[in-house]
Amino acid sequence: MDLVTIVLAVTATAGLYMAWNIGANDVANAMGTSVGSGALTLRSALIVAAVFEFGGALLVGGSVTRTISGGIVGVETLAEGGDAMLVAVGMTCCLLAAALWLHIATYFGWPVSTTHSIVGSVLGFGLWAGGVDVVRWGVMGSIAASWVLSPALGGLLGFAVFSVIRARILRAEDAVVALQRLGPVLVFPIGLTLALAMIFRGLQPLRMDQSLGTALPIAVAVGLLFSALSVAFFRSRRWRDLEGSESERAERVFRGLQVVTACYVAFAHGSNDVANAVGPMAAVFGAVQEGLSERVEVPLNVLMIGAFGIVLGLSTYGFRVMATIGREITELTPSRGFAAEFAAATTIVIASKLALPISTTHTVVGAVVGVGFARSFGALNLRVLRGIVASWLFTVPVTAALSATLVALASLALGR
Amino acid sequence: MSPGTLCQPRRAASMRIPLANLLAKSPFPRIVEQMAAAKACAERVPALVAALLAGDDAGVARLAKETSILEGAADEVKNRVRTEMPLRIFLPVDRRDVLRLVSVIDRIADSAEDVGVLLTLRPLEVPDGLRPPLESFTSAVMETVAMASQLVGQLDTLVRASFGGEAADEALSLVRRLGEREHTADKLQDQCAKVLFRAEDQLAPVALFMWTKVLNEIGEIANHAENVGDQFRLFVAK
Repeated sequence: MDLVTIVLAVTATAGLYMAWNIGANDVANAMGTSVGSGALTLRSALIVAAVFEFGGALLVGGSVTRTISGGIVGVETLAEGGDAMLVAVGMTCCLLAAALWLHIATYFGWPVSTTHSIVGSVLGFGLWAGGVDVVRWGVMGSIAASWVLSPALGGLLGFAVFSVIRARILRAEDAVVALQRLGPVLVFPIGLTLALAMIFRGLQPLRMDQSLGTALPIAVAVGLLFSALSVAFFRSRRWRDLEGSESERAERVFRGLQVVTACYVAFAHGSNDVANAVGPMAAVFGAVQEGLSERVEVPLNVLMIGAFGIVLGLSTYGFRVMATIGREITELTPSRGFAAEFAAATTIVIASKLALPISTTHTVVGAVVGVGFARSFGALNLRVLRGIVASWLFTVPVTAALSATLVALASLALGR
Repeated sequence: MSPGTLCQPRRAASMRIPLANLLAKSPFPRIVEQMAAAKACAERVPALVAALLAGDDAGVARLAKETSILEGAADEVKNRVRTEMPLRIFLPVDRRDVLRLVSVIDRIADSAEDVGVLLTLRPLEVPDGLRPPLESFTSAVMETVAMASQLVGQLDTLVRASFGGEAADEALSLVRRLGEREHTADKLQDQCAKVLFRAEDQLAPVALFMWTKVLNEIGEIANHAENVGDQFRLFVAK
């Protein structure tokens, strides 16, 4: 067996393990909100996640993947200076380092992010291989800023959306009628954001690389189409004879609506987090097979490995995590779940379009805290936020050191 | 310090689920429990008064002891509520208001216990004509406690409604009725006092003094119940 085959095999295995980890933990964290409120059963959550994660990764995931494979570290400079094999081995070590740290964090239950782990690893590899100059600090800086901003934006949006829902729907004279009237308005931005994310500078082979001037009108049309379709859902007869108080009846309608936001969250998650596994793999495959360019394209087979790993993670372990979350967060009623998912998914999709790898879990936590600031939960344990901030501070240095060590060892072993 | 010591995972390891840790255990069910304990304690008061009116000193002593034990139980629940509300917990209402609610509920049980103690200090003769106003006074006071307990029972619904809408209106209307009932109890207390002072020549001055204290202490129970209502006004207010 030659070195290339070995490297590719190790890469595929490490990438698969990363993807498995993402499926087992991150997807479950994102989808747990829907399971907790009873909008989705475990089985349907698995199906929704599998379909929409893949869709998000395929249609919008390219930007973040490129950031991880070639944006943080100038891999083409490294390849010119040494050879492509250095990049291949390095990126494989990045996957291994991130996976190792995640494994430890998961064992102890630390709220560590997959994204932060892989970004830290890539940074560590870059510093070891090419020194300070090879790292694109501007990109790194905006990524770091986005880690703080994304939970904050998620929180702000969650607070705003839930405040509107509370004032205009839950406290209305007839909550169900109010929801019937306002529901299509809530659905509109989902269609708009999704369509815009897909067709504005999207996938070129599918002709989804439109300019803003072309994409925006189409996105508005898609948003309106979503609204129009939702009218039928909101006017459905089944909401007419519901029993219980006004707000209880409205919650039942929200539970139906939350199926849409669950898909939205899965799509958003796919568009950002799948890159954590796929990005380094893409760099390795690119380095070994085609040589490197600044814009590493994502081969479909690499994406398939990522998608397969995620579905594998979900079905072997993620369902257990989802069930645990579902059991623990019963306070998250459908209206609150809707607001949190809407806020988180919108934030994540925006970040994906800006090519920023963010932590989806932290964004979901931010969104839930935002909803909580609208007086909607019995109690929030804000100590979790401290844990998250601590994980920000720890993860990058630790994974950077880990990956640098692994690359150094690998180079020694390979005699380079 | 590792992230692990900061986030303190509550459950089985090998999962990263900050979301589940974020939605913490609400202190409100515990407060409902505390109110139930305080109410159980206050409910000994009508029995105490009945034993007193029947001249059953042994009964009074036994009931006073029971009240004291029940007060201890209520105290225990109160302490548990307080220890389960660490600073890092974020509540939908001001944390200080919740702690104040806990202490007014506690005072209901305290006053009930004090009524029992006062009645055991000295055998107390019952003047003519005190029985009817005293019985209606006591039952009015008990009604305020029942209403306060009903109000506390609505906490869960209030949280689910984000302290607004129908649930808030309902709670506010109960607070209003509770206030009115407390006022009625006040009036009945005045009536008892009148009967008492009409009979002042037949009563020993010490007995008169003790009766005044007893009436005040029973009246205090209604005041505390009303304060429970006032805390709810703060919860619901913007």
